[in-house]
Amino acid sequence: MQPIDKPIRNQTASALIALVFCILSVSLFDPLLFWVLLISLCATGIRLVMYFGWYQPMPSLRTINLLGVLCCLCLGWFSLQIGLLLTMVNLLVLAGALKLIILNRPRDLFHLFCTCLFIIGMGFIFHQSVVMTLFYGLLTLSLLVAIGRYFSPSQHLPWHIKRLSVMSLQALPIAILLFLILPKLPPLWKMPVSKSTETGLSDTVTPGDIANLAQSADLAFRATFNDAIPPAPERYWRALTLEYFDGRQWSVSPLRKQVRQQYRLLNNEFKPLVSGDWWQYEVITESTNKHWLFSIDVGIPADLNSSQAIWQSRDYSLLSETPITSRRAYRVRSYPGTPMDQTLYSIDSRMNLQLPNNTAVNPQTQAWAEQLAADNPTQIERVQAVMDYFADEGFRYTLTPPPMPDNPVDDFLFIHREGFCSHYASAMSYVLRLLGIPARMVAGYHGGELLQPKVLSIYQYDAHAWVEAWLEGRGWVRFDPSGVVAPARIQLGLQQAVDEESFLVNNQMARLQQIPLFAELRNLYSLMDYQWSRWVLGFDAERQQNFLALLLGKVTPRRIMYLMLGICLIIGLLLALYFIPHWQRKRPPANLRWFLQATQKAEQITGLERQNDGPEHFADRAARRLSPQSASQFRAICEAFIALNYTRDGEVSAQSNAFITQCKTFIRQAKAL
Amino acid sequence: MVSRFKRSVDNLHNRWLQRRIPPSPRYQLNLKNVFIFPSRFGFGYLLTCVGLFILGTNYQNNLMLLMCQFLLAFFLLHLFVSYRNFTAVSVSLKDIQPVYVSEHALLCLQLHVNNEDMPFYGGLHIQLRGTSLALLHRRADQDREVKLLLPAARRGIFRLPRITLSSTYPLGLFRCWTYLDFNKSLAIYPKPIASALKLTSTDASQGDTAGNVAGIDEFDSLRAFKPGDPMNRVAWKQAAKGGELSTKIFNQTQQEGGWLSLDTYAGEPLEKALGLLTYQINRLSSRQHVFGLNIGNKRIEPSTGEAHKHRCLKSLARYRQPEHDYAAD
Repeated sequence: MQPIDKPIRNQTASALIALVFCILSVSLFDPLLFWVLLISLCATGIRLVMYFGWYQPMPSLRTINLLGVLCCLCLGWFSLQIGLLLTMVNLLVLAGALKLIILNRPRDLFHLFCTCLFIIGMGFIFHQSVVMTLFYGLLTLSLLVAIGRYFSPSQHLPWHIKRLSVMSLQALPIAILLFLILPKLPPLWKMPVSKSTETGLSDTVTPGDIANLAQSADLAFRATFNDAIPPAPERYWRALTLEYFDGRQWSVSPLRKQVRQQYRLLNNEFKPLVSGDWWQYEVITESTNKHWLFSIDVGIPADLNSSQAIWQSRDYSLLSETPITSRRAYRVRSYPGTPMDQTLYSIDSRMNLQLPNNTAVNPQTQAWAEQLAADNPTQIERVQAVMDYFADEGFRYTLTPPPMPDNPVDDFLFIHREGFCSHYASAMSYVLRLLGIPARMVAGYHGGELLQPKVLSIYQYDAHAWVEAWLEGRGWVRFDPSGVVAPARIQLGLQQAVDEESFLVNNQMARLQQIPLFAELRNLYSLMDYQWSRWVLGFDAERQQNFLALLLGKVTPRRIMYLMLGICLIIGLLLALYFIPHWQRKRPPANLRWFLQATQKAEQITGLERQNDGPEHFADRAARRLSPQSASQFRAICEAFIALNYTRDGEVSAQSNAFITQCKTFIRQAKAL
Repeated sequence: MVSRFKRSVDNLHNRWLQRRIPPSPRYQLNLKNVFIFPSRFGFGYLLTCVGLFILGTNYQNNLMLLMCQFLLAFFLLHLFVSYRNFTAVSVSLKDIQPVYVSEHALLCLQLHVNNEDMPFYGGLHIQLRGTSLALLHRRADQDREVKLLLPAARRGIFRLPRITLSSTYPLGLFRCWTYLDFNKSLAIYPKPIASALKLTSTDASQGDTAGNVAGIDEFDSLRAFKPGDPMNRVAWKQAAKGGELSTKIFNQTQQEGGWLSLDTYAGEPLEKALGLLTYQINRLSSRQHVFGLNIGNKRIEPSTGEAHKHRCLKSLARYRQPEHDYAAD
């Protein structure tokens, strides 16, 4: 009797779960605080040392409790900086690490197991790619193996791995059925989101910012069009409007935020009257940790599910109700022909005629504007004059403009005359405001790479900024000064617009991807990633309804009921398939199979039928029609078969192998007389 | 009040079990006698799933939901795997050897796998129902038996309560268990106390002639061997010299008048007296003596051999001790 009752020290389960925990915490390198990671690595070390028996005594519970209190205090301090979500993740990992050190009773093992499962779940907040999903899947399997190892220690590890893999594979179809059918609920309550890792555009733009963004080859979002896709120059993806200028940088106007807040309180959402042709598409956006969404020109949510998740603001931008913390899909219909004159001019003009308080900045521009105003009486002429200035005065479009710290607009317009899209947009909006035309900077993306015939991938380097000006009688009209300076940027994209050398110059990895072979691979991966995000990550309530409609024709409660019953039936059938032993037909032992094959060969050659003859009897009959050599071979086989199966003997496997070779030789060489 | 309620519930349960799983020397585990329910760990696991579901819904994270659903599907599979694994065995109980007070009785359950293609895996937990005696044997699948030591605190003949046998294979999310009643009893003899032999030569009813019986081993004569004579009484020396097999006869009076009696120790406390008698019975039996036992108003005619010894010891164990369920004190 072995009364081993505690999963400590020499038990593989404890070492396994320690390793899984360690790998898990390393995979969460970004969200974890460094010292938390360090503690979890140490805990793994301690557990392994105990497992190998190099050092036996366990730290006392009191020590660990004290350590726990200390860690909680530390974490409390850091929580102010990192926000609630990250604190939660860190706390969970910390609890797991401390539990790992004092792992002593079966109950501790179970607690740790559940904690690890939960941490894996949290991991999906931060990682959602195919590769990471597979990785976390493997970790889950290892956890199951660790627990399985605890419950049946007399089996070997490979046995456990095989058995639990089979079980997992059996569970997978059921899980997928549940995933497809179980209703997708809206968020039950608001969850904390992580403060860190903002990517993509930000809500304050200094002209240099977008140029920095252009160095990144990360995916921003993907759009899948239902029918036609807009021609390349028309792909202006609006994200946010920047309506406040302080002389150096543009930001979202505080007034705009206030107005938005008031409308929200009144639940008075902006519903623009749309007209003309439209494009309908689904956007799958990467996580930005921001609220804004992307759409071409005037976009409105295309279905109920999207419109519930989206707030339409009066600057024609779409805002998500919750920050985009992970990939999210939404469907939009864009009406490029819709006039943008449906908002209150009084509010818009108040925001968009705002000028920097400090009039000492950019004096030259102010003087130039006065000059322009005197020369050009109408709005159209004034705008045209500014555009002409960009076209005629030798401006250059570049990713690496010289720094312009003091009077950015003056230096840009009159000294350096080179800059990136945001320089142009910033300068033009400012000048238009000086000229008395309400103007704002719009930040977003322009362009997109064709992934599939109807699918566009938009990368961070497609980030773009342009100008919208309010013209009397027409409302907001888009002007893109970059397009005047570098038509290739609008027609072909950034890569063609700037010199080959400066494109992604700081991003060697991304440059490597431009080499054909790598480009091919990257394309393949993009395709897989696209399908993954479309069908797995983007499988929301809307898509589920479409799927059900496809399945049922019309979604009625009665049909839903039948579907549920059907699903239960399918799950029942799957279980029957797995567990009713009748299905698992017993395979005859190898030596019998080979003997039957040899007999069959002999039957073929001799033309005799074995019927119910015993092996020896049949060998006698067959011998008369076989060549002498084959006859003796066949007789030997029959005798060996009898010896193998009807005598009690050890070392069956070795003999069995010899027997099988014998059979094979006979089958190859057998000849008739 | 609460304890009375509890007892009546217990009684109801016992009666139900008696009908559901009637006593049997061997059990094939099947739908009829196996119960299955999520373990505490299983409920913890479900709670984790609920947590993942809430988190996944709130973050609208499909992978988290998928993981949650995978874990649920796994839970469902676990139910069937556990059940199939547990019902792969039939169980029988080895005979329990009688023991003396303050020793341990060995309870040994043997597991028989019905079909070697579908063997049984994992550990087994065994518990005597209604007692705290329990043991988890984590390698039961290897040993194919589960043993439990039962402390013998008091003498008596005890009915063995039902044995709770449970398995948590493969991941402990479900517990499969059964209550087995093999209809066996456990004999616990009084603890032997060494003393000089005190045999009365005559019937115990005239017990006052008790005294030291000397010359118990005195050789008297030889007679022809009859089948059934004890082997150690055969005169082997004579046989080796080529003679017929013959049996040594000992002093005739001793053979007929060898009686042990509780009354001999009337002055001693009962348990001690029984202990003294136990010792003497053992001693006499090991020497192949013929003796009878008088205890209370029960009388066991003189005889010899193992069966006789156990009959005597059982009557000592049972003396003024009603038969009831075994309980580890």
